[in-house]
Amino acid sequence: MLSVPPHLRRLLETAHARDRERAWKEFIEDHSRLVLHAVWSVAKDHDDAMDAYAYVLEQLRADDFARLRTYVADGRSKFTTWLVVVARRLALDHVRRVYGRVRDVQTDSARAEQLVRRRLRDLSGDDIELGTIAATSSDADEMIRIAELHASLDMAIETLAPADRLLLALRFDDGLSAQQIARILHFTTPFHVYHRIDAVTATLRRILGARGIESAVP
Amino acid sequence: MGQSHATVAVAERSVSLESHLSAEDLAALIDGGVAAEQRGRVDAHLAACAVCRAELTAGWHIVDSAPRTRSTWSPWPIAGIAAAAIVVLVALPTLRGVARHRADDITLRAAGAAATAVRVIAPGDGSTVSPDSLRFVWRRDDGASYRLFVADSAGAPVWALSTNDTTARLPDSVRIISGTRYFWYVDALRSDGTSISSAPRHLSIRRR
Repeated sequence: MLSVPPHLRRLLETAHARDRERAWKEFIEDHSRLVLHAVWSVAKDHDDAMDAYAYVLEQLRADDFARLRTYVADGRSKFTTWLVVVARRLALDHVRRVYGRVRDVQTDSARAEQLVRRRLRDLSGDDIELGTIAATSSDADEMIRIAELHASLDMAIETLAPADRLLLALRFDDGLSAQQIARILHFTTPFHVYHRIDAVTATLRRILGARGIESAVP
Repeated sequence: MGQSHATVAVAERSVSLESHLSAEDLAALIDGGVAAEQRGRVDAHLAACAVCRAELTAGWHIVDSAPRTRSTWSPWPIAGIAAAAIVVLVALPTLRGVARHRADDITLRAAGAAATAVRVIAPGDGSTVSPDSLRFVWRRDDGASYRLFVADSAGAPVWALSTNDTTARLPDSVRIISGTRYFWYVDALRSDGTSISSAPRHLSIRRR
């Protein structure tokens, strides 16, 4: 099991202010590049990155290093990985405080519709242009059919194991490549990702077929 | 879900942490340290939460491309590294044998028990074959139809065939490249709706 890094332990356990300052400087020297790297993932430009970086360090230090004291060396991850997650979250908080949270409801709605249509096309195995899969229709019967397709697909996906639902979400909702998915989910090779997706989509086609759904076209 | 050790962090975030994965869970996901018994919970949340998926993807990318820290601290003492290396070297032939055993898709037939994997006969896993003599052969699973899938080393599909036969040859229209590695597997769809598959196998095309 991994233990708390010595430099972190020194920082958190030392009683003297001067020693604590020295330990904090050492901590920054050790991890500043990593924190900056995390900050750059959300910053818009150099000035933003520097502001966010300063904010992250300020927050890590706040309340006698309260955030750093929450790290638990439970062996599930390295301290540096945990620090990346925390630093990125803090940087994102900073950016949101400065720029606000931007939401385009219309874009979200249109994107959700696009994702469902894409899913239907991919899962049906048909070589159909997305544009031929109706998103909406003035025909009432067709609208009902579209809604049924969506509902059937959702129900079929819900029968899958969580790992397979996650795989479909990363591939079809988030548009990640098999290579990215392989690395994020620790598959051996991208080919194993394709293999699993192939098996899962075949299962979904069987489920949908059993419900009389053979095509993505209403 | 979203267990947090830090009330400080929870209080100051604009988004409720109770509805998202904790930093600890995300870090464990990135490092592959999520325990098996927790995997279902975590995967179920990720499958439904685009925010956490985006955070996982971003976090993984940062870690993957991160500069090495200056820290000289290593979690493993040198003796431990040496001991681990010795264990791996000793175990490697056994591990390879186990892998080959599985890759050969030995049918776990007991009295009345159905095969749990498609038994592949040719080409052998890891073999180098001439493009002219490349022929896929597998054992019949009673009443099943088959789907043969061939992909390149990046996993991009090269050819797929649905057949009731247990042999297949690449058609002339499918272009395979000499000196290149390919992966392939066979799915068998049984009459009761269930399916079994061979493990992915690889082959290389002999240079002309």
